[in-house]
Amino acid sequence: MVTTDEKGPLTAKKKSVIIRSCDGDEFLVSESAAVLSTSLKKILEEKEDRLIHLSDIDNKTLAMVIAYLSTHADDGLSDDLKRSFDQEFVSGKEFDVLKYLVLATDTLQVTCLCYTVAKKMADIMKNKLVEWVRREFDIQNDYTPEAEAEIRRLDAWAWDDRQLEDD
Amino acid sequence: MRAVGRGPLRVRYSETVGSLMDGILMDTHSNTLRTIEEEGNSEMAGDKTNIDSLPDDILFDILLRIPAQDIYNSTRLVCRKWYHMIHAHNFINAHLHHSTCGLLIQNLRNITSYPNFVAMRQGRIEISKLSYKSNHRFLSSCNGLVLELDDLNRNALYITNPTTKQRSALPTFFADTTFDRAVIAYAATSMKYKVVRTFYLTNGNTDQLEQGYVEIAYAAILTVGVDKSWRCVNIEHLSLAAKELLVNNLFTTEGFVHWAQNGNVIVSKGEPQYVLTLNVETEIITEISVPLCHDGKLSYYLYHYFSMGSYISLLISCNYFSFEVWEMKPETGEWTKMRTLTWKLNIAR
Repeated sequence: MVTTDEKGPLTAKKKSVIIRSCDGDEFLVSESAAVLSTSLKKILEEKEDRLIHLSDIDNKTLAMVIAYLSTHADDGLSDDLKRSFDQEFVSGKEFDVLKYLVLATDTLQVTCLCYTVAKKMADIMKNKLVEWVRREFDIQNDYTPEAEAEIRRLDAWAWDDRQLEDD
Repeated sequence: MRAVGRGPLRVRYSETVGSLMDGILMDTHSNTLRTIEEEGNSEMAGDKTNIDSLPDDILFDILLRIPAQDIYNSTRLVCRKWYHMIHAHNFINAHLHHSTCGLLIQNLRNITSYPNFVAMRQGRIEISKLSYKSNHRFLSSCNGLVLELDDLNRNALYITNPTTKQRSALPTFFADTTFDRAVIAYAATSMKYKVVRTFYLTNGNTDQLEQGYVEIAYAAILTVGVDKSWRCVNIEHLSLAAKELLVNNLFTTEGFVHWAQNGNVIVSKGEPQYVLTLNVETEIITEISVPLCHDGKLSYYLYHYFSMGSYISLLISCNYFSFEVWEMKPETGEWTKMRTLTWKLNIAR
């Protein structure tokens, strides 16, 4: 509960901050959650303004990050519950969504979320063909077919016959 | 998640906002998040994401978490930039630190069967089969690389990465030897793997062997991927007692190779005991004296050496009922007594 303070704004209490996404929507976040982001913590230490504008994070991604921060700021939850929340948090998310998420965690400097998302992206990339990875990361193949074959030939000793997935 | 206001924000902080905030925080775990996601998906559907490129440090963090065999089979072939990132020393080291340590177990009765890999993950023991078959005997391993010996051709040593299934043969050994004691170790500063092996020089005179002629063993070293032939390790400066230790089994700690006599040791009173330690970086062997129990008043000891990663642990049994546990950091060569264990006999009357 935030108590009313008619004379001064909430800065004295430092209970919550407002974060605006690049789409212009605003989110009310408890300060204990916000400071889990190293970037937000720095901003809050430097200025009294309770409104933080993030020009490169969209609504959807910001909402997810805030959900994460709020859960992790909740002292009432055990570490085990937080871990299972992390699992749940990234499961079933599209690769694209994860890419935006990992970029946002980089901007906001939320190291533990960054690692969780990176792990999930790595898990998705397992057993995938080179072509799949290129497509998802939007990467141009700068190898000539000869060069690619050469790398495979040079390093190859034996190939196992696992089926790689293209979707 | 809900937006609480638009435009220049002037929220009056009041009881209402406070409870609203609490409400939002609770919502975030359940349905609100889902709504946003659904909205988001419909928005994104026609608009395929096109992130120009992820910053290198994020890319690094992602690639780091991909298993080695996937990196080998596909990830490194994505483009030149990824290839160079993956093949850089800092990536290889970081990836190694992310991997799970475990025991590689080979069935020597049937070495062509798939080896087992036993790992501890979150307090649980996991046993898995490697998808890799070898008809060679595993002698030693270091950072996931395995040193193998071809039993049919005693001179042939191989280094294999069972994960990527890469294998390379080491240069043929210069001496005709049936000695199969060899280890692989990592020299961290020069970032090179080195293989150390011991050997006898028999000079073709086997009669002397049978007559109990005391032979001297030698040590040879090879820098993997650099040396075209084996090099002898200098043992000139060692005492005769220390040189004799070279016939014993080798074992490794991080960056060091050791020779020591395991098991029963009979010593003249007060005669010093040694362990040989080779620093794989400098390739210098030193003899380090080993502590004696009871101020060396005994003539019979039981020594057991254990490699504990970065240090050696030594169990000395001084008699049937008491043991001493010592530790030695190879960098300093100093032994520290950790504890004395004494069995107490409870004889039933």
